[in-house]
Amino acid sequence: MLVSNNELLLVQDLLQDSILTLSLAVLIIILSQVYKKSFFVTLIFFVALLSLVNLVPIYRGSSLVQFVRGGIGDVSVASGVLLIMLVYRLFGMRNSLELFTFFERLLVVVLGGVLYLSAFGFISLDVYSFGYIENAFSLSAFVAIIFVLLILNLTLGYVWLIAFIGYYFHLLESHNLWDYMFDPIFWMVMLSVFITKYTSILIYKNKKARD
Amino acid sequence: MKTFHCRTLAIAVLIIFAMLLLQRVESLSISTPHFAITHNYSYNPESNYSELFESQLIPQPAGVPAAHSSSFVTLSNGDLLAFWFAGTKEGRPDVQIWMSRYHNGVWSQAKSVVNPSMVSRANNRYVVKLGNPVAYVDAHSVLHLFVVSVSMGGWSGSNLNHMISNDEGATWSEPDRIVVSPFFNVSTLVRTSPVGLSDGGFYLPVYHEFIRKYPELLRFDASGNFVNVIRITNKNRMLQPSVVPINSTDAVAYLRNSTLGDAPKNIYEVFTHNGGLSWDKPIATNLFNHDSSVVGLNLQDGRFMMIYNQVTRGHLWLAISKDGLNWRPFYQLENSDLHGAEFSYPDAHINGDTIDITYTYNRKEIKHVRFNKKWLNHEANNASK
Repeated sequence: MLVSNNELLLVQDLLQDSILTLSLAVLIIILSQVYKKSFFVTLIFFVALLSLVNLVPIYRGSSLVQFVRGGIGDVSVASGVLLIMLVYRLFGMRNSLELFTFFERLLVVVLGGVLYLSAFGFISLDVYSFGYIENAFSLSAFVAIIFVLLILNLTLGYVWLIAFIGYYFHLLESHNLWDYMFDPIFWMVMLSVFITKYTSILIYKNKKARD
Repeated sequence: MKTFHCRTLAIAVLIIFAMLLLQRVESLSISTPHFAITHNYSYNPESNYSELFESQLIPQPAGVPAAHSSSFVTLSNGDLLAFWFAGTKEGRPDVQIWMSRYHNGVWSQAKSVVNPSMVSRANNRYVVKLGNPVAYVDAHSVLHLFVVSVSMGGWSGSNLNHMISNDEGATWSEPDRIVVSPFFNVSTLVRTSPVGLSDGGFYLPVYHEFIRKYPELLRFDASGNFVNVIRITNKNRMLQPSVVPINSTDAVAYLRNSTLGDAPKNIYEVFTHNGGLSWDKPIATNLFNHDSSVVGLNLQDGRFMMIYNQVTRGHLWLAISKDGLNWRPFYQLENSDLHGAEFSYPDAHINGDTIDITYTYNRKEIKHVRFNKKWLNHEANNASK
């Protein structure tokens, strides 16, 4: 063990607080549309928000970060990477969501769908339990998925590789690999993008065919 | 070329970490679970000791009007340590987990163990309410306390917290959140007592309540670390499993039935024959239960006992069975048809010849009942006449 349990808990806490602080700051900036004014104003506002969401108690002594953490729990490593993409987008560097292809979005939507249906008890097989990596079989299944994604040079492969390394170092409280690769926010974002993007394409194609 | 190098490097990193993880998995290899059957008590009906049946209310904290959901453990010297939640009303932020010790026939004044602010601080997140404590003493005499906490919404949004004490409840560790669900880690609740495993670990029976209700087991190793989750069944509306080991490999879990509408509301049972790794299909017992927590007990003489509510929570019954399948109710611990009367959420343990039960008494207090096998046999025989 390189670090003690208490140090590990501290690292896990710090990581989650940082991800949520960044997320909330980015979200408020996007909602307030401050980023449309100037880079400098956005930056000042962003730095101020980083402190405010952490230090100002909003309800029963809890800060906004603590409040959100209570509601949604911890976020996955994948969501952390998605957040970095959002920051890129915020500062006008790139449209982050375009980094994922149709196949990657489909994979996340289907895998997440099966995982959550199973977690709610709609499927008798407990898919989540595979993520505890108790034997070489479950380990190789996850490694195979990431390997194929990397061979295809897909962004999701790199994202899940980071999640896999995070799992090895126990960067989250959970010791289930699924929690490093997925969380409901990540899945819902991918699902909504998938639905809106591909339904609009289908509608456009149908319309064009009719014309 | 740049992409090729990047991809090759990523694959190499993947392989290295996969090998490291494989090494860790092999070194941590988890043993096949076996239930710890520590007692092999044989009852002699001819013995001349007298019947025992006594009951008393556990003192409640001053000015606290509501109490519910008790759980207790037997300490090495025979004392009992009971835990329950109490406050102005279930679900209120002032509800805390309380503890009392039974020593020389007397329960001590209630002492607060944990409140929502403590859980909130320890887990660095907002927590509004606490509920359902479950206690367990492991093979190394470490006391474990599991408590449900909610940040938003109702009980179906619960998280599970784990505290330990190395000095029989005098001091406690900070509450540690256990992650057991991929969906915001919500909806894992506890109610019934853990069962020990021969490797020093234990199973904590839990249940899922969000959208669908079904029972699970959380496995802990000998050091008290959470290992994994085993699903008992995904049959809907089966919850609060009371796991009763039969021998080292076989056990039965009795399930509260929260079926809605006019469907039959019998207690269900489900068997395992491989130390809890997999479970058969649940089957209905002949005992009726109207959506209330039940407790099964192995009497360690070839018989099983069940404590359950029949028809309403105003009637708390004891039933006995020789095979764990066919049950015969034989004694009514509480009997009231008054509106709001509630005698529910029992916990029970056997220690040699003595059986202890605690349960919610009218949602205001916790009652402790103690009886011995001589009394039990007398009542069971009387009822069958």
